Amino acid sequence: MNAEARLAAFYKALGGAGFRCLVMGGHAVRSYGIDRSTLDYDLHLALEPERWVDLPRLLRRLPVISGGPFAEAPSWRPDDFRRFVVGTLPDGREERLEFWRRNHLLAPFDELWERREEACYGGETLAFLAIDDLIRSKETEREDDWRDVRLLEEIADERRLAGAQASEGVARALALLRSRRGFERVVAVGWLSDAGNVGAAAQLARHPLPWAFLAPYCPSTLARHDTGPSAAWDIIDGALRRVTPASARHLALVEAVRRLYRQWAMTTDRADKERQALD
Amino acid sequence: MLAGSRRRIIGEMPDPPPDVATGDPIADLLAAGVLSDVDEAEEAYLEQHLAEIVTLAESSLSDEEFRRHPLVSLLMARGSRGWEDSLR
Repeated sequence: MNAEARLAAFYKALGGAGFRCLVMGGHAVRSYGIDRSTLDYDLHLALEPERWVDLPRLLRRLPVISGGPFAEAPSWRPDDFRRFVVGTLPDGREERLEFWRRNHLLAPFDELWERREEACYGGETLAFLAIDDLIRSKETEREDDWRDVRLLEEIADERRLAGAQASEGVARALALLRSRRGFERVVAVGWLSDAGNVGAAAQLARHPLPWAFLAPYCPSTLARHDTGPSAAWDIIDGALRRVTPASARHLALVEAVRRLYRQWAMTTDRADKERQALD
Repeated sequence: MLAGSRRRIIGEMPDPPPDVATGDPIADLLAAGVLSDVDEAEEAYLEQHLAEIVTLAESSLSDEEFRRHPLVSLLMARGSRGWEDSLR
């Protein structure tokens, strides 16, 4: 059984036992079209605290797990995240099943569930984190996760741009723009030459990256929001308002903002882990 | 030429021992054992020089000079991909 089918078997067994869950992690990245390897099965569960405590016993009763190896591995935040070794891979490495009950980077489960995307994976229909939630879940201290972010941003932009027909969709696509490819595409179709589009997007945008793309097109509109580091907003409300749109200077400053945002997200995630370790 | 330009902008990096100096700050970081691979060295270099991007963007460099500046070239090469990059 390959990894996709194995995940599908776990997912189906969990669903049969009454668990509501969303696939996240490497398999979710793969489901959005990125060919990358992954060892773990990562799931976000809707589980009240009492059942979370009882999770090992509940898992052992599942036919797909019972009878095989089963051991809990250490977690740096056991109230929210637990991991279990459930087998051995052909190359000898551990096969791990990992669960989040609450993820510090994400909205509550019910909100994530509302936004879920369903797709056939491993022969079953599985529910995955929506792509923007998946990107947020990958904004961690780990370099590897940012490789996924970079590719997922391109796919998320492509999907929004392809689906944007009415002006509302165009404004939303511009307000969430994060990749250079997405930016080049909206420049090519002329959406940023339309002041109405830019104004509507500026009303919706909250994240520093789309604002870095938008700022030279609306230099007199206040940008600063709570998401991300103040140094990024300083560039957006400063140098980016004085450059020619779509110029080399504009694109370089976008990349500076991207790096500042990544530094901030990595530092924030690392600080959270350190706080958990102290508690 | 790139190596020489990099040397001019890396200013505060420690000088490598004379017997390993190459003139390229990224190579020098590797040769001096400060960092272990090119990827790591380029990332560290960019992280330390982000503020210079703003200074360069607001300088009197022509667009072509700005685009060809080694710090800008490195930033763009390691940033989000454009469509043309996928055709290389």
